[in-house]
Amino acid sequence: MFTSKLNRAYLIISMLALSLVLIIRIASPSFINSYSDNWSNSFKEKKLEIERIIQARIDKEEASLAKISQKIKEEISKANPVYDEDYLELIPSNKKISINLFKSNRLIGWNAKELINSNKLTQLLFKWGVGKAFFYETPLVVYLSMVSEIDSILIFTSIPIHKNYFLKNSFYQSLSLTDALDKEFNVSLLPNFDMHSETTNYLKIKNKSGIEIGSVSVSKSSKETDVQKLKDKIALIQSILVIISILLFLLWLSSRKVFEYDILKLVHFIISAVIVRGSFALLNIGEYLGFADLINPIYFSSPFLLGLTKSPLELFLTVVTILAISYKMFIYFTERANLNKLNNAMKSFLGVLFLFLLLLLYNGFTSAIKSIIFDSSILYFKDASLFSGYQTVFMYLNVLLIGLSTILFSTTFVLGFVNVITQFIKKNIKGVFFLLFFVATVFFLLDEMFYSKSSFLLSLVFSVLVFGLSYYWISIKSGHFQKIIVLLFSSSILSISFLNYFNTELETNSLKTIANELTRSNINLYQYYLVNALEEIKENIFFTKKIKSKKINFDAEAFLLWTNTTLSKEFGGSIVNIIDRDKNLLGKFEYNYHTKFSWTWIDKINKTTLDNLVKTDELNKTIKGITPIFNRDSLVCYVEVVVLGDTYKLPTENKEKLISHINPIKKISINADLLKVYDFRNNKLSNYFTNVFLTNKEKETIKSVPLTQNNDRWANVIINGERNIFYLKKIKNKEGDRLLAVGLSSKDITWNLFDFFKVFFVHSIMILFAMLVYLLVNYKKWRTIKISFKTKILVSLLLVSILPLIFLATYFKNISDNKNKSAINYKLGKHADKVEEYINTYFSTSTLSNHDIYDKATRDLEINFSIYEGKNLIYSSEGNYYKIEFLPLLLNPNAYLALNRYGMQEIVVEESIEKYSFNSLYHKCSVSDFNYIINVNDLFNNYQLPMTGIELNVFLFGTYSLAIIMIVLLSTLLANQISSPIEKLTKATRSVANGDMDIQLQSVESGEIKELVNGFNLMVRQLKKNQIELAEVERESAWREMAKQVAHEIKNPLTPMKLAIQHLVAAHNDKSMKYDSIFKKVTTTIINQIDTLKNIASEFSNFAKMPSIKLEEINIIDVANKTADLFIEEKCSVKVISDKEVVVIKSDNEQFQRMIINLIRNSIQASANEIEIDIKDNVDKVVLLVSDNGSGIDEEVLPNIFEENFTTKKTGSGLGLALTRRFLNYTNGKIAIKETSVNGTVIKIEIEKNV
Amino acid sequence: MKKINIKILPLIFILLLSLSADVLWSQEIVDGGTGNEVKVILLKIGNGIRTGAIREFSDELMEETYISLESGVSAYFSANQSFYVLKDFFQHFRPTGFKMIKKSTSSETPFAVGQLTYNKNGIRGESQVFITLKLENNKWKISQLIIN
Repeated sequence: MFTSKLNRAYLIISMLALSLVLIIRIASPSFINSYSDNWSNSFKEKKLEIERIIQARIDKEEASLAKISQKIKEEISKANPVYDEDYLELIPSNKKISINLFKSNRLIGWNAKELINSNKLTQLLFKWGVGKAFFYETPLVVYLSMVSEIDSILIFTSIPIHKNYFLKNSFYQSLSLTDALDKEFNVSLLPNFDMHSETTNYLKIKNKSGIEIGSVSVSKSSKETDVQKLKDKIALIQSILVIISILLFLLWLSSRKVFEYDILKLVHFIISAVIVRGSFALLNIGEYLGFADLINPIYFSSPFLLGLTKSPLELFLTVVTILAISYKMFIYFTERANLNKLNNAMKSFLGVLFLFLLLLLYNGFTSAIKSIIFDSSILYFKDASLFSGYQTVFMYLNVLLIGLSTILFSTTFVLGFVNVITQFIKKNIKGVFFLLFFVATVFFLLDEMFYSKSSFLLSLVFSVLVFGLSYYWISIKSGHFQKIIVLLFSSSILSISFLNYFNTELETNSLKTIANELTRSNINLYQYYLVNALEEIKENIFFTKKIKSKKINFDAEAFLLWTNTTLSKEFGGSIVNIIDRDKNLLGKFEYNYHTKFSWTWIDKINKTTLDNLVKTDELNKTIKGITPIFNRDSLVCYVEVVVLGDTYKLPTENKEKLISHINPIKKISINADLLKVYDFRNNKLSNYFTNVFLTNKEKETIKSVPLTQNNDRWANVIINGERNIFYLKKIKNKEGDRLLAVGLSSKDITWNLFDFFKVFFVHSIMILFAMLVYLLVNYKKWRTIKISFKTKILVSLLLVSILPLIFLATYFKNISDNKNKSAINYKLGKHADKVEEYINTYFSTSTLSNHDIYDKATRDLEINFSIYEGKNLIYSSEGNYYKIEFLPLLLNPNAYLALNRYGMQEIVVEESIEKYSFNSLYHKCSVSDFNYIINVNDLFNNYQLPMTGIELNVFLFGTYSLAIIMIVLLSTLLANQISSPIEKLTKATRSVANGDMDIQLQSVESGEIKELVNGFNLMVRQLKKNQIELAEVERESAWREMAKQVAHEIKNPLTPMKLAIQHLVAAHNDKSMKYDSIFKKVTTTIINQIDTLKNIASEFSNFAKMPSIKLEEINIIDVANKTADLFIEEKCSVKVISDKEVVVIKSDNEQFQRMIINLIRNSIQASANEIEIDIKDNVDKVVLLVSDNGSGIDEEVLPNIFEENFTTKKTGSGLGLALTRRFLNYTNGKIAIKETSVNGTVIKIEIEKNV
Repeated sequence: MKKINIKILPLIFILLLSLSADVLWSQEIVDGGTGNEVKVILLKIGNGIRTGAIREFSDELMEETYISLESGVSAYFSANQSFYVLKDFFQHFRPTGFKMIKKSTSSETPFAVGQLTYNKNGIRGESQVFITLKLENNKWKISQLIIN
């Protein structure tokens, strides 16, 4: 009743949703018009909201500045410091806020950079006063700052608010006052950190004192765009309503009578799932739900399935749909479908179809996993961290789900295949499985031979796993929960094996990509970049504005110009020079290239206008260009850009990693450290990126490889006795021939366990999470869960083995981390010692200037270092970073205190810039009264560790998860082995209690368990014997008693009858006058006594009837399932099939169960190993079809099988089927043999619902 | 002798014409060098970028194409992936116009430079486009597409 109401509700809501779509369609034009008319007002509201958000952020940051300033003031008044170092020590460590302390115009305290000098501070104090926030601009970063004062100490605190530069690499930490708001409000915001804004359309930013400190100009988007966006939103709402309507309609449809058959239900489900998936494809749901990265095609996109896999999220939705379909098919074919009913032609067709589908599935699966690898920028195995971005984890989930749906589909096909073939070949199930495994494997191998989808080995793995799982599913009597876990882990193993294989293919292919990358750049590209860069610089209004001031950091400005041009995206050397009107260099930024500025080339060209003047210098392989910068028609300066061709560097060599764009080679799945790149120009090796040197013979081998028409070739080359795979590419240009050989050792490409376990570990966590969710969802069933003996053993074994393992892993990780740290510190220390020794030697012996000595040390020792005098930097091998104020010019305050105050000779501190953390060693030195500090760090020096922290984590997680999996498997096996006989005994005891005395347990165990099982079997046999004897004795005794009773009861009426007849005879002989009346009396007496005899006979007849039937409402599916459970330990599978969960009839629960036991026992005794009880609930009756694959019933005995005392068994009573029929007769039921043959028997039972 | 059905003649004529066109066209590629093939590809790219219809030139992408875009994307993408990466880009940067500024079809490394105007969230913008082609299996394919 409730269900039908609910179904009606589905239809009504579906129709309502559809009506709503129509209403929106009618109403939307006027709504859009109204929005269009009021657009200006809504834009004003938008501006107010933006202003509120920005002001709230500024207020919050100002409060933080005030708080920390107050804290420092309190510390100073409390501690009453005397020396400069005392002040330094009082500064709290704060990563976000920069603090500078000044005393008598001297900087005495800092926690990061020296952001300001005392003159500038005095000016700001005069301008803003104490305790008021204002914007303070440095070339690269804009801060919100505040000056506070205590005694004679000035405290300058600053919070970074906005970065003027943008870098596209993994270390860059973006910071913008307006970027997030641009996207949220669909406007273009431009912050202005000047006190007085020049723009007309701007939002004011004020400090807490109400003073305007800056502004944000708002460029509004066009009215048309906003109106279009509104239209899009309305269309989206309509689409959602249509989808809801379709979904509800499908739900309503599924309850219709037309779907009475399971196969129709399955087809309906598949069509519904496809429609729903298709509907979702119309909505870009990821964008609306804020999953921007999950809909980004760079993480994965493939045109497969007409765009249903165009992003990670779309792939997920498609995979979930396929998974749902595969699950439904699996359930249908393993539990519902009765293929026995089909004719032989149909069975043959299905057999071939299942095999074909299995092959198709294999091909589809390999293509899908290959696409996951090749059509994605995610490096599934290269990145050592376990959770490298949620996009990667999401794709791991997709891979697992693809594996799971493949396993479900393939198990369905294999079981269908086996089921059909079993009809033809009368073999045991194991034999059929083995035969079909062999056939399918041959087809897989042939498929591999002709189409090379993956490898022979993997196709074999696929076949073994799929057939193994199918056999496991039908033959192992474990619970569904355990089976699902096995399926999930198998899916993971299968998908990762293929993923890993295709990754090795991609790695090999990467050699070609690297060769392409190394030859991608040419003079045309550099020209394009240069012209582009000059245009972009000319249009840079910030630069034009700032260049008016003479006191700016021109080096930093050159860097900012560089980051704003396309040059920053390339890896070839480039330079940006800022030149004044008098042709003097004001500032420069050099990237991967160094050359002195010279105006000569411009003079040589002798052009009157220098607007975008470009010159190519083929000799030096450079292109130069210059453009004048004007401010209101007056020339302010020139900017020269120099681009150097042919300076490509591999990412491992790049010391400029903090500012470099993400290198395409970094995004290639191969590890650039392992590459071997040889560059032959005109037959001579001119360059190489590797530390493996070639012998002349090896060089000749590479050069002599014959190339294809495309001038390229894959080749195997032995170098240093090691096999390498090389991609060779020949390029012809004006300078002659160039042969590029990019290779990798074969052992570096091969599959490894380390990679496998990294993904497997993530999958394991996902599976455990899914199981946890499953348990939480089913928490109501917890009460009924009994902790079994097996569970107790399993938990004990796991606890005993895993806990020490976790302890060991943690301990090992700590040790390794400390060792790594010590190794880095040792290397830093060694390098600092080398630099000290070198400098001290040259100081005492050389006439070179200090700066030249430092430069020489950098070149000769190949160590990058910095030198500090006091707290100030006086030299750095990577001076670029300091000149542009990217790195602080002041010594780390902790190092300063340690070396100057606490007399330490050396200290290692952890520092960070942007998102990059590194170790920095400070080493105190002195030579000839010159005290200085050497700083060496692993930011600018590359130290190779045997295993980095992340790699170690992965290794530990990998190996220990392998150990844990092994332990879980072994523990489960052991627990099973220990508890299985006890479980068997428990179930057998239950069967005996239910009256099944034919049960006998098989035991392969030895020792006590075998004795126990034998004892049980003996006990059951004895019980049965005793029961039969007892029944015999009872029957005999009952017959005796009954005979006595019958005799006694019969005797009682016989005596009066005898007396009456004697009386009648006497009357007759005496010719009595009362003869007539006596006759009447006597006959009445005799008739009465005969009635008494009849009553006695009836009562005895009643006494001999069946035991009384206790009618009650019973759920026969429940009863049948419970009965089937009794046979769980038998060598026979008993399956109860029904399309309903509850089928209630009025019957006797106990006798109904006994009837099912009788039928199952009969089937087992007829050698059946598969029994199905199919329960159908029709309108007026219930039909049970009990089918088996036993030896069937002989035609001769068929008419007698329901007769009492008829049996074909040696020990049978001949009562089972007779009693069943009699019981069914009492409950308005009937039983008949529907069909029987050597392939099995089907018994049909019909029970009327109205008893 | 049976009469030839006159209706067949125009068909034969069309067939011969199409065959001869094929022969002429292929001769032009072989004899005339790579110029025409490259021109056709560049034309396709131009049309595709102008309308944001990637399908116009998606078949001309190399197995691994370097794509660098105004949105910050820059990497090698498979031909499959390139399609959606470019499609996604043009959905956000809706093209309003495109013109080729420079073309080189005869050199060993053909390239073209173009200017794209687009509309991003209602705000107009301009980008420079750089395309290079390379030979892959004896066919000219797009090896590099930069929109900055």
